[in-house]
Amino acid sequence: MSDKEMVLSIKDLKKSFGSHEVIKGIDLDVCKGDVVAIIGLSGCGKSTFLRCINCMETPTSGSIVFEGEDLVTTKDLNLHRSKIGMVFQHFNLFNNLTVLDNICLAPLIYAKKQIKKEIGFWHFKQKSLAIKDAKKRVQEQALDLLKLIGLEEKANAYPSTLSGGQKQRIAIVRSLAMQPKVMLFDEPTSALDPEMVGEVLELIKKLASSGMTMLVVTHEMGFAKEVANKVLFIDEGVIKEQNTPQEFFTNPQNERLKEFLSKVL
Amino acid sequence: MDKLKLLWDCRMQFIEGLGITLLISVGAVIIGFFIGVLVATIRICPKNNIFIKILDKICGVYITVIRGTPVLVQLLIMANVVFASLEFLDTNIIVPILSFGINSGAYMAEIIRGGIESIDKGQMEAGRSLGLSWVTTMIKVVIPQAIKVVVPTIFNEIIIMIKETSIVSYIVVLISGEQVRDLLAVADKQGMSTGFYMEFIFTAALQYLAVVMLLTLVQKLVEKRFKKNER
Repeated sequence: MSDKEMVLSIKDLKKSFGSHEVIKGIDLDVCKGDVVAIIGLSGCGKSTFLRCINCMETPTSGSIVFEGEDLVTTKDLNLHRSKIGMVFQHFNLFNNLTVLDNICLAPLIYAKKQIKKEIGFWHFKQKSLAIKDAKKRVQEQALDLLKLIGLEEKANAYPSTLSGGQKQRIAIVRSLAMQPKVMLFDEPTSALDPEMVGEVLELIKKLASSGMTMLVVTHEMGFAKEVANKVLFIDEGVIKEQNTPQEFFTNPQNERLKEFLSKVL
Repeated sequence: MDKLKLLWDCRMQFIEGLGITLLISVGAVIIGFFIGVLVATIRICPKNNIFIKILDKICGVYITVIRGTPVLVQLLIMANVVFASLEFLDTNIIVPILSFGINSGAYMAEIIRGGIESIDKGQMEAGRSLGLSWVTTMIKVVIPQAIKVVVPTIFNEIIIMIKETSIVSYIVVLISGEQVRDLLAVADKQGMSTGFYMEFIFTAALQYLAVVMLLTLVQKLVEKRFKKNER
């Protein structure tokens, strides 16, 4: 494990809402290419934990080191967040934008920022040419991503016209368009109709086999068993057990985990 | 026929009165909208420093006080207390514009805040997770969606306010001692002096109605314009 490049290093992470402590000290190291499945009973804090990683919820204490910087104290949180993709339970596609614009919005804003920095404010002509160029590049990349999931004909559709499975797959490639170093999945299939779960899991699997580092909060035990190389069981705000999927599912140690698995498997 | 001729003879007075009503309304809408956007922005933005927190409290008090007291009272205070010492200004127009503007601002602020807060929190989260700033996500994602929600209510507020301006005719501004000669005041005065009170009041009513119907038409067009994106 030690020869692999470390992507995320979480130390003693704690999070309270008011006087209610949800996360009570979690340590976790994630290496490049790791697929970490996080399971647990509802309300155990697994989603909160995931949302703390990119500071969607500001942790009460602890540190999250990503690309050599602590996300809890960094001045440039937005830039770091752009390198951490996040996929939500309810997709959260931008309703006012077409599918293509959903994917292009963030990359384009970052490209424009870069252009402004490189060319300077006063060279309008040069700048507008560079922006045009960047726009073309970003759109091509977006179309390639849409092709990857077989939805290129939906490029100009609005999210309200899509099915849940389509929305979630587009939400995933929207995150990919920022070329993230790590992806966070917050119950990506929980809000889907059963017949659409497959297509979304298929895409996540494809991503995993391409070497993407990811943390997945999920209720799909089969998926965790098949795709993850590490499975965590979170209960009462701490990691009660972490292991390889084989050991985790066939030989659980923790009593609560045994109980949990006997219910869901 | 006599009555119609009488009304026609007073057309210049009516036009002047309608003009004053519209001037007060437009001025108040502009001030109200400006205050509304400003106050709503302060109320929804993340409260991460003490300066914003203080501003937020001030805005809260402003909304509570303005919505908690009648416009007529606000108008009287503005005319007889705030502007009592400013003799060099044409207070007849400025007092109602400011009073209705400040009054409308409180309602607009609440409408805008409500509109923005009605947009699913996930939209903001998705934007932030992609590395966009709060302001960028607001401008590119949340506000365009909120506008659609807010347009009908904003127009409703404007319509209510236009009609409410009719109470200015019952205020005598203390220093000038003159009535504000808006649409209703003109109809009232002419109606009294000619003896055809009902006819003049009905004429004023029709003019208010025409203005509101015109505005409703504009509302439909604006709504259509914003419905174009999405679906």
